[in-house]
Amino acid sequence: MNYERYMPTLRQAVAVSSVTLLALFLGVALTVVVGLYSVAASAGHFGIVEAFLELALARSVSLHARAEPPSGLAHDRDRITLGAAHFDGACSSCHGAPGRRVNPLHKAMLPPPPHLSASDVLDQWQVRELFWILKHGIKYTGMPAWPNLERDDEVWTLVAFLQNVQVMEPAEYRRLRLGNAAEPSPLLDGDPEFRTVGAIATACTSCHDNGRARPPSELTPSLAGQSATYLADALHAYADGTRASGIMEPVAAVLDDAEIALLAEHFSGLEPIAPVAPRQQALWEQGRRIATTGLPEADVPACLSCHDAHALETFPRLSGQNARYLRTQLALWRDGGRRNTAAGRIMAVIAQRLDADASAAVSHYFEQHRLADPPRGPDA
Amino acid sequence: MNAAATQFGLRASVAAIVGVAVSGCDGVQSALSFDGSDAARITVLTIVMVVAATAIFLLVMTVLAFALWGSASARKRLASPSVVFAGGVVFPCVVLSALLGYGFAVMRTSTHGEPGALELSVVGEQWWWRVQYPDGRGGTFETANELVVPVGRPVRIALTTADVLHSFWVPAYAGKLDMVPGRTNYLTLTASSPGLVRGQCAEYCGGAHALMSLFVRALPPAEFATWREREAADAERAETGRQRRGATLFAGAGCGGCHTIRGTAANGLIGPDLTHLGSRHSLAAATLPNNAAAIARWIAHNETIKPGNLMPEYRVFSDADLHALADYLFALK
Repeated sequence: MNYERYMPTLRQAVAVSSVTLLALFLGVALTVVVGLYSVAASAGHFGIVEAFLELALARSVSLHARAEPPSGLAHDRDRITLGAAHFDGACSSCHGAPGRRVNPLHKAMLPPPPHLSASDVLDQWQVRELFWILKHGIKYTGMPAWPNLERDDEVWTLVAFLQNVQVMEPAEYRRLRLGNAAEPSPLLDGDPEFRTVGAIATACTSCHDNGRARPPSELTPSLAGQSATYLADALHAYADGTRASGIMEPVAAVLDDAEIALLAEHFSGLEPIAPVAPRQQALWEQGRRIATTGLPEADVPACLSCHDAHALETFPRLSGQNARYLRTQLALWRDGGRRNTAAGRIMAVIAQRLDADASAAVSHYFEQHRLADPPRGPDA
Repeated sequence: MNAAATQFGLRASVAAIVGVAVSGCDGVQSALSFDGSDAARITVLTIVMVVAATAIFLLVMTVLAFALWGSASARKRLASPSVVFAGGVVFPCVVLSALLGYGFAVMRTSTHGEPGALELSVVGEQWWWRVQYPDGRGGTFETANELVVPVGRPVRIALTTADVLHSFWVPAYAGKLDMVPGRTNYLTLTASSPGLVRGQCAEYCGGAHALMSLFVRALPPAEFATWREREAADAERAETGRQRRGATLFAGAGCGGCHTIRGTAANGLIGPDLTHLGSRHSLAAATLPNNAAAIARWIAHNETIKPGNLMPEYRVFSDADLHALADYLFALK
């Protein structure tokens, strides 16, 4: 058979291809420019578009998610507690919660955010993929990235919570999300000035301490009795993003200067929580040595030279502070973070010289340390 | 280019190079304006070495000229094995051995010390000098970044290092000796007249090596005794309101964790001793002049002055507070 006479010449092939492509392009352009394509979220996607987007999502996340979870993540009570409190404020409005519905406002989004505990959407993702989605968000959806990409440790708390949310009872969720906010803070009853920040201060105690009980999660710092200057500086730094925290930046950004000042004063005036008893003698002893005499061979001064009762109000008191929180902050400095504030830059130089063992030792020491004199209040 | 222009260019370059080189021959850090008996001995050694080297150089150039342009018979004689052996093996061995022996003889006094010498200790740190003096009553006291020596009395310095290799070098008093980890080296120097000279670290020790220098003051014996008495004493108390504010800030900011001010609670050993900071000629190992403004600048911006140095920058003070702190430190005379 002679097929050659049915084959197009090169010129013919090029001509037909170009005209076809041009027609397609013009067709699409016209549809978009004239406005024929509907961008209505209420209309939903075509089935094939939906399938394409879902495939792209699953494949992209699977390829890009590389971080390995820390060991024991799913059973870490501190992480689950902190993750739950943050979830309640930042996520439950779109994604629902055990015993709570998705807000109808968000159900009308395209794609609609799934109810994470009532549906089985979480089953399709591996732990490392959940971490990636929480940290980076998803394009073309309303799922935001973590407000600060420097804080992987915070993202893992939310992953730990999500690993438990599908089997969590509503009562358990309610307990976790309220934390210490089940009762208002002691100082709110007396001073009329503090009552103006009453609702905010009570909300703070869902994660932080309230003057009677410790913070529900050991990852969260205790605020009671802390220097008011330090607390106000920290809130300002969170509010303008100079101090990195995906959990605290959204909280602080909606506060005005007057509220920040009142909150700092309020928490500074609370009685500091009682320090815990030392659990590991050798570690405590190592921490005591570093805190009182430093590590001269590593150019580390004694911690208490800057962190005792007579230090500048700019520097925080560490006595009675949660060891896990202290270890996290020291690790942030070691990894190159917390360098955007003047005080953070001082500590960055020192913290760089403390390895993980030394950090664990000093954190353990300060958790049970009580200052010789109580910290001065704002008007001392 | 024609021959005349080439010649002029050559002469101009030589003049420029010599001029630039010789310009370092004056001033507080000059190796040629010596002072002290050791310096005199070493300068003589230097001159002997230079003269001998010049003579040998001229001899070799002459031989080379003969080798390139001499007559055939001259070249043949130069190539004979006996000339090569005598000029290439015997001559260098004899001359260099003689010079080596002479050099050892000169250096011997410098390392073994002399009776009645004042014994100091200088520890090289990155990037400053820790100096320890006997206080004349059986104890010692510490200062930093500056040496004060009595005129006419030999000073024997024990040189050690806290971290990496450094080298102690004060050109005017001659003698340059490395500070080697795990080892104590000894250097003796004697100042023969009062004055101020400058030295520096002569062994690369990290980023700020070029900014690790020191001043050495030579005082007549009576003035030296007065200085030592003052330096060994505790720090002066803060007088004015601003200085007292500065003293409070010094304690509050934890400066005493790294620095010592004798007579106060500050007893840190990581950084330089500040007990009599105001009486020094310079700051930061001869990097800054000594005044309150320079102290303030160092506290807040030391990374721009000496990049990589071990002190954090303290930008947590208001302007007024920073200057109160600097005033307090400058008043520690």
